[in-house]
Amino acid sequence: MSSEGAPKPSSSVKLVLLGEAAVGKSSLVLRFVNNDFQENKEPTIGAAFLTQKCNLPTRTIKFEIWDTAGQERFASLAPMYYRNAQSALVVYDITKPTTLLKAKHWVAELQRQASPGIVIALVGNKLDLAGPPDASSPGEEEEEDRRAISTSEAKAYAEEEGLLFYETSAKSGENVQAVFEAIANAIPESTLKPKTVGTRQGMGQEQPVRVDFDAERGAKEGCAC
Amino acid sequence: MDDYTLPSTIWDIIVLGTGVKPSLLSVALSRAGKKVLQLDPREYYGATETAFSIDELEQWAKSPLPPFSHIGTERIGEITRPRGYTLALAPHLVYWGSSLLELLREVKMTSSFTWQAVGSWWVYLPEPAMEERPATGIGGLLLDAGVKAVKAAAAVKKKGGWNKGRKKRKDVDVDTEASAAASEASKPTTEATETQSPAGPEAPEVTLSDLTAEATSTAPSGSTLRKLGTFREVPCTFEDVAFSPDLQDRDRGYLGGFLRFLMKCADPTDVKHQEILQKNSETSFSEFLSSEYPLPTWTIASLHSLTLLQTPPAETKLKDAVQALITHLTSIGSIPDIRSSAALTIAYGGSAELTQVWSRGTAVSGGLNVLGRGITKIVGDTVTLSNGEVVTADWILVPEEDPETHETSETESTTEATTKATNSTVSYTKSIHLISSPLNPLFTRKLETDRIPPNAAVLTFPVGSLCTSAGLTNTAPVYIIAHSSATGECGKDESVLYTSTQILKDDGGYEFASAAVRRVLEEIGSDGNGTTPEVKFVCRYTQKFPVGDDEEEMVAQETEEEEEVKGRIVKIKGMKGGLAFDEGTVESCKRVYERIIGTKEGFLRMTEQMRRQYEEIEDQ
Ligand SMILES: Nc1nc2c(ncn2[C@@H]2O[C@H](COP(=O)(O)OP(=O)(O)O)[C@@H](O)[C@H]2O)c(=O)[nH]1
Ligand SMILES: [Mg+2]
Repeated sequence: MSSEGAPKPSSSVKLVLLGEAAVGKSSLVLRFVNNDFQENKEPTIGAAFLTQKCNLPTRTIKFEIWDTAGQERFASLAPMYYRNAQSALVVYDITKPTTLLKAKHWVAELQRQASPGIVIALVGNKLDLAGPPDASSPGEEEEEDRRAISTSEAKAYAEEEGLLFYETSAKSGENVQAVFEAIANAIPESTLKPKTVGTRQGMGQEQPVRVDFDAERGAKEGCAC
Repeated sequence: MDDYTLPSTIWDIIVLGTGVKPSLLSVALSRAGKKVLQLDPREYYGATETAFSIDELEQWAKSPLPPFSHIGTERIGEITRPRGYTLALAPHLVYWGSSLLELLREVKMTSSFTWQAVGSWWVYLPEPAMEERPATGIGGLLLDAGVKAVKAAAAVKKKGGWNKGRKKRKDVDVDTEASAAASEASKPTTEATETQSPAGPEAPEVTLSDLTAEATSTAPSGSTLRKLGTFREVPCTFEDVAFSPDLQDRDRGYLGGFLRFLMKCADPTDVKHQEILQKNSETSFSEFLSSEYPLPTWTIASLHSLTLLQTPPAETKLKDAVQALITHLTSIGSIPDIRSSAALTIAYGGSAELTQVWSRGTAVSGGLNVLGRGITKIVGDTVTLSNGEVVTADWILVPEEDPETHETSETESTTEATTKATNSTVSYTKSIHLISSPLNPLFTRKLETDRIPPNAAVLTFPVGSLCTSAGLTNTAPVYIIAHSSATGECGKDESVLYTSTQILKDDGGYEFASAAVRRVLEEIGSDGNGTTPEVKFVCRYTQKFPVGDDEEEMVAQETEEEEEVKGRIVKIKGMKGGLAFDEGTVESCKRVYERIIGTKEGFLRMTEQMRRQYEEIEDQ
């Protein structure tokens, strides 16, 4: 019997973005966190990660969203980037076939290296550049369909690999909220422990007890709750 | 690597390399608003401080480049996930009072890492070694100080940081505690000594009850020094000294006296002790100890192990030993979660993790990391990259000695004055052993009050304690840094033993390492039903490190007329080869930063934008 104002259980979830440069990873985060979109945006400068809450009926998920900071362009992302990630958004651009190949590479890499229970969502972005869903009349001039990867092809691959799948537009906002909610819902309850970042890692052991620099401060402020 | 062209050909700073120092400089300069391009011809971050999976280690072993040589790997047991390991080339210990931690606390970066505690130091001491005593008589110089010291042990709990871990200090702010501990420890303890009756010139008459009374008052849990087979825990606090079952009362007095001596040496205003240090600057550690504190021989090895120095006690300069011991003793007792510990280790590959987090930090604050690309030519401010691209920079930071990044034929002509820097180096023989057992006894709590267990430990094999098949005995200590799986470096039922010694391969260095590992497995690894764990994988290598004063590094690369030329090259010396994180690192990077930015102020500090975002995140 929970009282009215009792807060829902809340947990932090590390989410990493992966995918080729310019597919719209940073734009998806900007849309999700600030409900904003900027044409020709500079790469993210400043924060190592952003946070955004996702309220589910029974619990609150606080996403700790890590962006590549452009490292994917010239360097392999360091292993520390996806270590302990409980979820990943692997993004491709529906107008560029090569980006799906790259996305598949990342999925394979995550399946090999990341935490065993990681939730991966495959996201085809720039949906606004595609023509209307059933393009029976390709004659229409103004709305040029730039789609190069069909929904069915990507979806089939996602199903095969057991990934969540969405097509989104960071520009219009279509499906952006939906992807994050789907991930939040898919995170297994068992891997959620309040206030820990990542409960399992590469070799499959429990998150170890570690030295806490805030241990003493917490005690001081008396917030042992 | 994706072959995009660089977004710009004009940079403020080009940093070549992704080792600890280049990465720290890179992120600090980037946070200071400079446009930084960080390159590494290797395909991974970390250079000589990197961490590898087993597959990667095997690959790396195939084409050794300086400073590495004589690399060999061997798979012995079955390895199911060779890519899942993170084995460190630089599994550095980070002392709680180190300048690295001070810096990370200051810029709120400690939470970017997973920290594990380094537990006890263990020394391999077979019974015969325990009986040896030095022939030397009682020295006079410090007797007075020594006697007073142990008698004054009771005062330590009030004054010193070394022992205060046993008190509950809930209200201490963590961020300032280490420095507080350090300064407390270095305060002269006048009241303490004054309250003592003058001691006679005899061996110190400290009774066990004196010390135990002191120790129990501060450690209600009552700890004793543990023994694991032939491995004995090193006594390093007054409490340990009081309880050590291996010490006679007389030894307790000397040992307590020596700890006291160290505390006084930690105080730069204690003229008398600074003079003693000065006078003995060339005296060896063992010579000094046996003449001033005639302790059993094993105690010398035991104390020496705390220094983590690779030289044997007889070749270790007193001042180096004292400095290292002070670092240890001012750190112990200060870690809130685990008072029995003095140092931490960074999970997922030690210093390799620093290089990854800092390199990412460069990107996050607007810089660019490029792997798989080096520099082929530097003329003035114009730099030709290995893919032919040409860029310019006001400053170019290059590693002093690194063949993989040092293909710069033209640099020599612009930087003649550079090679005067002392080119002295030292080589250490290292190995990484993957063990088929978690070696749990090494990773259990020492004190009841420790809230977390340690996940690393140090084991030392003193001079003469190991033997090769050819009958050679070790002429220098062999160290083992043990890591549990909680460091994320190996699987749940495994552990990793990192060995290091100055004995070179040709003198049996690799064999001594194997013998040492075997001892550990036999004496600590056996699980009661007689099965000894095995080595599943081993990698052995030799690595050359710079030695000498930090002051001599970072020689200015421009002469008067070169001031006209925009391009300026700074050569960055590599990290030293110690087992603990090179204490000079932060300061030497700050000096380079100062040359470029004009001040050391604000080094690595968050930018305004970062601070705002950080606060937003904190608020949520
Ligand atoms: N039309 C359209 N453009 C987008 C969309 N998402 C991102 N972009 C643009 O694609 C470019 C690259 O986006 P960015 O978020 O920087 O990609 P990242 O490199 O993956 O982080 C920018 O010019 C964006 O404005 C989208 O959904 N639709
Ligand atoms: Mg981006």
